[in-house]
Amino acid sequence: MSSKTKYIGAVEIGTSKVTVLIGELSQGRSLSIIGFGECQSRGVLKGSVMDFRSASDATHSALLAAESNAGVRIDEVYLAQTGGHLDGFYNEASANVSAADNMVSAVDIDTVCRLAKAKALPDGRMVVHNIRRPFRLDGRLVPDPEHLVGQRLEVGYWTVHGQENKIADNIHVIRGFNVPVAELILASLASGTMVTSAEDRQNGVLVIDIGGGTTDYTLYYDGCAYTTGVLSVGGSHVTNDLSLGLRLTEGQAEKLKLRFGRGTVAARDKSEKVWLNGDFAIGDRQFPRQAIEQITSARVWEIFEVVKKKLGVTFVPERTSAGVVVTGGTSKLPGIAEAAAKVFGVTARLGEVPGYINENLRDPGFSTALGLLYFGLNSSAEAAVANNRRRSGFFSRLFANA
Amino acid sequence: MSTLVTTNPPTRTWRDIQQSIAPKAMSSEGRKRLLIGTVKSVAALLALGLGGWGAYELFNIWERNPMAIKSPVKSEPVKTVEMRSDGVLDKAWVTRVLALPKNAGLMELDLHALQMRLMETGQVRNAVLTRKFPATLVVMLEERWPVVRIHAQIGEAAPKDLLIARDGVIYDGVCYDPSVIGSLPYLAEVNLKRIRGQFQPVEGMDKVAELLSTARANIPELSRNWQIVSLARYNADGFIIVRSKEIKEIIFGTRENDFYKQIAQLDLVVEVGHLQADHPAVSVNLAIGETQGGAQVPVVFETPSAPASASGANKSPGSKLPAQAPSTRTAPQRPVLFGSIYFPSREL
Repeated sequence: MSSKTKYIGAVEIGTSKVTVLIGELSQGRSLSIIGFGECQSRGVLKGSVMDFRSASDATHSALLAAESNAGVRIDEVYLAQTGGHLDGFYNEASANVSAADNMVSAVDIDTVCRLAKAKALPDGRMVVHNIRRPFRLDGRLVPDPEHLVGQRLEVGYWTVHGQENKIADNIHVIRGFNVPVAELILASLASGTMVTSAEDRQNGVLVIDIGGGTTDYTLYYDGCAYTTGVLSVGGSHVTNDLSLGLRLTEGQAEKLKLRFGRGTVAARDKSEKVWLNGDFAIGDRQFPRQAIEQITSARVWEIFEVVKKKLGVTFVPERTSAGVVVTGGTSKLPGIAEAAAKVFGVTARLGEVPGYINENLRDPGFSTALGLLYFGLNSSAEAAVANNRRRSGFFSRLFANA
Repeated sequence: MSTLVTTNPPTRTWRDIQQSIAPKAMSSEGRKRLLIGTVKSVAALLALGLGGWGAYELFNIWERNPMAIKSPVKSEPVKTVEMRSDGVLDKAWVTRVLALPKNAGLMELDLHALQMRLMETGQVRNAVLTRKFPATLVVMLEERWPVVRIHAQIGEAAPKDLLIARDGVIYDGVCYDPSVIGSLPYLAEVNLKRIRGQFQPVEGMDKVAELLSTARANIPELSRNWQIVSLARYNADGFIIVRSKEIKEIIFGTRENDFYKQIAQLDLVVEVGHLQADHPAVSVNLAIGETQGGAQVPVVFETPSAPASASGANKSPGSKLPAQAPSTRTAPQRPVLFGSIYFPSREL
């Protein structure tokens, strides 16, 4: 590895599968996806590690597969964080501008930001993200208030926090592979960044990532993530419903879900039947298609309803011009976007990754891992810019020709 | 207006979680990576330490005895000198000239200096010296071959014969067969120049060499009797004058650069001269007389003795020649018999 090339791994330890992508980061400015590894998840329930050894084995298998696919060793990992233990709150602070001429300085910004972030958490909880909303200077929204003139500077932070031990478990699974975790990123933020454009986020968009065991959502207004949340309900619940409703094993239910499940009921003929396996072997049975669709759509509908309820008054359809974007493995259910549109009362669509992503990685199940790589690239670019700024200081310039 | 800010202790973030993990908790791959990482770190530290120690030692040696660093690696003394040459020089001569010190190590030899020593003799055109480990010095020589010899006296020393090669280099011939040296004609009427004890190359030797080699190839009998080659008129007229036992002066021209033609003309002149043995040719000038249709070669015949000349005064030696036979001249200051032989160009 050359000193200017870094291999970063994007790891999503989900309830149903572990996904690893490896990106080659050149000079902190360009990223190429060079490796991919996937493994069925074990020891993970609703996004939280329940069996450390099983979860480690599955994750390490995926990491090894990705490394052998890429032919390189991962230097650091960007890890997706999800799970029902994650929660968030909004806190805002205000400060008077300190300068006599009322020009906002970097100190003022720092002060108000520290105030907004300084809220004590209950024991055993720790911050995963502090997501800043736009500044307000005398009531007007400004992206960067420095050098602007005003009297009162306000800022709010959406703080995402989680249970310390569950976050630590996630990190230790990766550390068991002897690779450091460079960044912990909320799964919904990662996927949201990938499936929406900056314009969507500016106009207001709700991203719902329905995974196997959890549903993550992020509501964007004014280009920022306003609210995030995690529900401990996902695609596995749809499978479970089918299993209970049709008296099937989990495997059979999963098969039926993938073949005939829908987000909305489309079958009009109650007598229409579908075969379980379709091979006419002993044990192959017929099920009414409408029943399958009713079961799956009911659960999908419920998920959306819960998301809407959790968002509460924060979700304003009029401010969400870009509508709802559904992504994640479960979003492959036909008609799911229609269901979302009906529940939220805005337009809805399936999430699509940008066109420059390879065809093999355009599946909605990869949006989180791709988003992690995107974060990795951005954080490296920011670090590179910060380094350049540091280098171009007074002394650097003074001795530039030495 | 300033605001005094008091904040709670900073909230804990996920970065506060210790990422270190006991090797026991690692998977086999993790332990393998840990081991590789540790080995790499140790190796890097060792390399760094060794490098530092080496630098320290080197510095110490430099401080104490710089020659210990400068002197080359000790090697075995030279036991054998292998010699290959395209000439006559032998191994004894090479050993004598190289004069290697006793027990001189193979690596200690200054090959360039030895090469210069060999080439200073003049007889060696090029010398290549190579080390063949463990203890052999290989010498490959490319020698000069003599074209003529010259009798010269250097300072107060006794006069001696020196040899001149095709490139004009003058040298003492060594290891040649005396008969080879004896067969070489002498070079006469040439100014030798010496700079810093070294003779400067003689100009025109390439032409002389070409002439002699053409003569040896085509008229070996005649050329064997050539005794002196003179370059007296080389610079002024471009003539090479050869003195032989049969003809006192044969003048060759170098401007046309066709010695073969001149040698053929000479052969014919000598052949005609043999028919009149009483008047052998004294001078043959092959350098002039070129015409459009052939060549006019002025030949001076020997002046006959008085009675003979009286009896033969009306008999022209050229009378037996074709229409262009030489006419008789009787002027006392000029040769008595002067002939011109015509060579139609197609006969040559």
